[in-house]
Amino acid sequence: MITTITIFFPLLAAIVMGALPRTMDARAVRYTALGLAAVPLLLVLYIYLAHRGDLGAPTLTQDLDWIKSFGIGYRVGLDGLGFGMFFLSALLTLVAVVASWDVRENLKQYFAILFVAEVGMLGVFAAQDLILFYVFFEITLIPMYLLVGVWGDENRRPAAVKFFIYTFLGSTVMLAGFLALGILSGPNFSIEALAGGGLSRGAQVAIAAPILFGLLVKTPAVPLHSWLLDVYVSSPTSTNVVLSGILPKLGTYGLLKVALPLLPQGVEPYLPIIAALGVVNIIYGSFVAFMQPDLKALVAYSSIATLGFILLGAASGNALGINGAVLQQVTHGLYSALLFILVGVIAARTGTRNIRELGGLAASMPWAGALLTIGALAAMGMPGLAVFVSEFMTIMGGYVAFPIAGVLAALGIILSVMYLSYMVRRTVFGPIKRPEYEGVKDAGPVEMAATVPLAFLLVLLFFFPGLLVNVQRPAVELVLAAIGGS
Amino acid sequence: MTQSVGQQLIIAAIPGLPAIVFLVLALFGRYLKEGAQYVAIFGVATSLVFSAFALYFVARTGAPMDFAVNWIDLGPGGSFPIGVYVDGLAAMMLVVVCFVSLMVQLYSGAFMQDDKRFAWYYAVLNLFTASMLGLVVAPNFIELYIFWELVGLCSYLLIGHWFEKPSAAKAAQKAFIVTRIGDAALFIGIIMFWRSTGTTDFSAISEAAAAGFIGGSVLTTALILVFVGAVGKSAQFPLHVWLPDAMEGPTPVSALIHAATMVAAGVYLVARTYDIFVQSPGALLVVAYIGGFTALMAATMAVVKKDMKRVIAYSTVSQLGYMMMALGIGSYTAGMFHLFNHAFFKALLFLGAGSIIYAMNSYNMFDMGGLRRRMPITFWTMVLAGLSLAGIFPFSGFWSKDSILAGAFEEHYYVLYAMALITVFLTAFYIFRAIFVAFMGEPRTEGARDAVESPSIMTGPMVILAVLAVVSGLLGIPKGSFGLPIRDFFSSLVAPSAFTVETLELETHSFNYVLGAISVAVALAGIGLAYALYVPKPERAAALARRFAPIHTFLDKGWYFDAIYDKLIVRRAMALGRATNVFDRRVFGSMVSGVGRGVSGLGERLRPLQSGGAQNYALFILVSVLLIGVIVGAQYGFLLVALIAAVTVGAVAIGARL
Repeated sequence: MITTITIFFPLLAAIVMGALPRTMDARAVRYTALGLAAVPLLLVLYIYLAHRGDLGAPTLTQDLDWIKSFGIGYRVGLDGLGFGMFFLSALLTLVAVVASWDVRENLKQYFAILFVAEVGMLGVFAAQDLILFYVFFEITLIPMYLLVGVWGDENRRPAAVKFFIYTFLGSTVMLAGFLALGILSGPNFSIEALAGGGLSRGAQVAIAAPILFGLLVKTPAVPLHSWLLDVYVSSPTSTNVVLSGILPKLGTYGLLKVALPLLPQGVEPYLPIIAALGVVNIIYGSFVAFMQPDLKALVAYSSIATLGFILLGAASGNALGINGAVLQQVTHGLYSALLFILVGVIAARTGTRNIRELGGLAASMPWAGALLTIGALAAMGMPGLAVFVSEFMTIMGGYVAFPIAGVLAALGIILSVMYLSYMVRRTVFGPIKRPEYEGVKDAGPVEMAATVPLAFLLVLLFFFPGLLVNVQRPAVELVLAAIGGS
Repeated sequence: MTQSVGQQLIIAAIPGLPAIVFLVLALFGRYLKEGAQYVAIFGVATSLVFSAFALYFVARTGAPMDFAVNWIDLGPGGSFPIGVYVDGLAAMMLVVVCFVSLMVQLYSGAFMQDDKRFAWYYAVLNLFTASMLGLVVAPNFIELYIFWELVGLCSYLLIGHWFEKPSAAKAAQKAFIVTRIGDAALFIGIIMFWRSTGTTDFSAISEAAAAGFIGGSVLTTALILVFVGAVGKSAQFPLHVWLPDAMEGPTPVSALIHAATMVAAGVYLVARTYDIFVQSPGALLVVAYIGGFTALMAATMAVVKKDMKRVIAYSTVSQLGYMMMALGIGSYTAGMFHLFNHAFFKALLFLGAGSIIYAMNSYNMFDMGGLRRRMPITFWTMVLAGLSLAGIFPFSGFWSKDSILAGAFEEHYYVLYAMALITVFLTAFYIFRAIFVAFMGEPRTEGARDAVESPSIMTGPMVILAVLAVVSGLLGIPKGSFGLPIRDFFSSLVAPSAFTVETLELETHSFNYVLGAISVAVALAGIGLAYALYVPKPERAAALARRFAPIHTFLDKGWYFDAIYDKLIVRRAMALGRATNVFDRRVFGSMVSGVGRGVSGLGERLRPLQSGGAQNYALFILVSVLLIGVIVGAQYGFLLVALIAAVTVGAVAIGARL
């Protein structure tokens, strides 16, 4: 029950936001939204404290019949695979509310839509039924489309349409796979019941193809990534937080939660391809980021590169790689949200996102500069920050399964240091590029409140990865049992 | 597991205290201002005392201290503990690192007093020390790699301490990237070991290799990759290019980087994993020849440099080459002994150079001249350090260098011996060239005329280091030399394992008087040549440089390594980056634009809703909520979903046609 309450509380929050009086001033609206966004996070923290030891198989489940004749049910529950992202969804929604300073018009509607998106995000990571998974998967789409299409920059409309069409196409193809899987197995759409894969190998291989396609579009895996850049660049900062922190994980989580355990034999022939796509993401993303003049685009491509490690780890089929992939979903969300917010802060102060126009920000914005550097260090997998932990796990696990892919991924750490240290040098370091940068204000209390907790979590999870790894480990072992790996 | 909890706490505090100091200074440094240095010095001084305890424990019991806690535990999927392993080698390094760091931090109080990021400087200095100490005590590859990366990060921050200067920011970035290339290789080596043996623990890997779990070309490849990591950190050929540029950092930082942290890490890595290295003669040979070649190559580059700090920097590259060579040929103790002695005299050389820079604000030795009278303490301490570096009997450098050369000769590596001997000559020449040009003759500039000796907080550490540069070698005089009852303390502490001795069939050699005499004679010849060229008639040297201008330029440009790397790698990588960028925009961008155009009709129809007033937004929210309600609530939601899917597929198909 608590799972359901947590998932649907944001819906209530959205209604409250919509019902707020028209005359309410912006400040009060923001505080109300903040209070509402904090509730799911507190619930998640309570669940963590009370149940972190028993998140192997789904717990706190709720199982209601929905369409009985088709074996479709409202089945929700939490397991270690999804818990990290369940937590991050609640956290990043809160962070997005804090970081919404560049949203000035129609604030109430903005928050309401954000909360609707949160329902979908929380739901995906708790869904234990394929159709329900799909429904939540799609629920995130429309609000995100609106957030970008309405509150984005001048290029927002084509970007939003492109994003909508592309990912909707992907998820529709995925749905076809889900339907085939569910109908052929019973019909039964319960993820738990389908684990291990009862279908013939041929059927599994055929069904896996559309499902993987849909998931890889969402991730996105290069070459299915082309929707990403425009929509990331056009979004307001706080939408970026959710867009980069949570949405890609819908794809990778689907891989870990649905594709691998439900179609073990079907996914097997595709694993080398997924590993290869992971490496392509790492290397290709890095090279595009390498000469990227737009700070936001650079972060977006760095994000593509980091997501590649998740694909590699997921494809590895061993404990180290999959645990790394599950963890990397969270660590990637933390650092990319951090970087996007700081890019937003810098762009708001200086009026530009062009790396060549920036420089010497350390002088006038020491805190923002330091936090940007921390984000960049996290992105390049520097020890001391949690991305290192998940990255080395995925690379090592990936290497055991696919040596060449593992080696190439390891070489990716050279590329990441190249463009990220370039970014830091050109923005934070060096002489002050323009006289007008001299007087710009450093990150203020609100901006610090949005970023410092993210940086703190990155540090905390480096020193104590067990906080999440121990929670996810039993669930990962179930996945391994389903795919018959070690 | 013989140690008590108290002892464990003391060991853990050695890297722990500087780490805490880092946190305190990073967060509260701005309030402490000048006080930052006292916090820092107190921390590292306590670490030094604890390191001395550790050394005492280990020397007394003869057994390593070893304990660990859980970090990541995946049960059968693998586990990664974080622990501590302190044997004689590690204890020796702990003392050296803490000691040099303490000297540098004392000295920095004056040198950096006007710096606007004074507290931050001390904060990073302490993180640097903590990382190096953590690296030293690491018992497994993953933990070592963590600290290895942190050491790299700190050197990045310190080289780029004056990051407003574009050249400093660039040098920092260069160091970061070049060493990261080595780091990636090291990491691949680590995962190769992991795949074959299922562990990252040094001793477990060594045992697994001895038992045949990893061997042949796989072992050699993995070891060479690990060595490439060491090559990056220790600035060996061909990844040495970052170290000379690293001079952009504050001079005390150079002393720390060159003496005890960062560059020492590479040599230490090979020494730490020596039991694995000895199982692959091929890998050892690579270590030996890369080391020998680097020693000679860097020495030739140092000969012509005008920048005092760069001369010393190339000298470091060269001396590290000696250490690598020693490890490669099996002279384990000699290599480590040289690391030990080098730490003191190299730190001193940098602090001396810093003292001159402090006095006259120039790096160019030809701006100096005649400083011997104005800065007598700096002069005499640098002469002692120079004699030690040149390997003159009985200064400390003599003992370790001689034992490396003797090892090469007696193990029949005659090519390496010849290279090392030429290097001895060049080393003596370039260091005394620098000393003679800076301190002898007449002042060449106003600055040199007005120079005054540095304050005692700077010269104090220099004098202490000078004493060590003279005497530290006495700890490792071969047993029973000169017919005296000498006890070789150093080799009883830092000895190769019984396993190594057995595998390499090492024999102990007694002190070889002939070889010792030869190397001292060669070094004296180098000093003599430097004197002849630069003291009585300095124009001679200039004439010589003109006459051999192409060679002079070749050496001065550092054999054109930077130019070649720039042309072959950097430019190509940038071009590739640009090409990928264009490719991404043109190919993938237009592909989706096609889809976008196809559905633009849909976009047009949505437009009124997007641009309208608040009512329209409200409508949108209502629609979203309704949609969710409908989907969740509908008894036949499944059919609805399928319908939406079918309609969308159809719409896109039709849209794409249009």
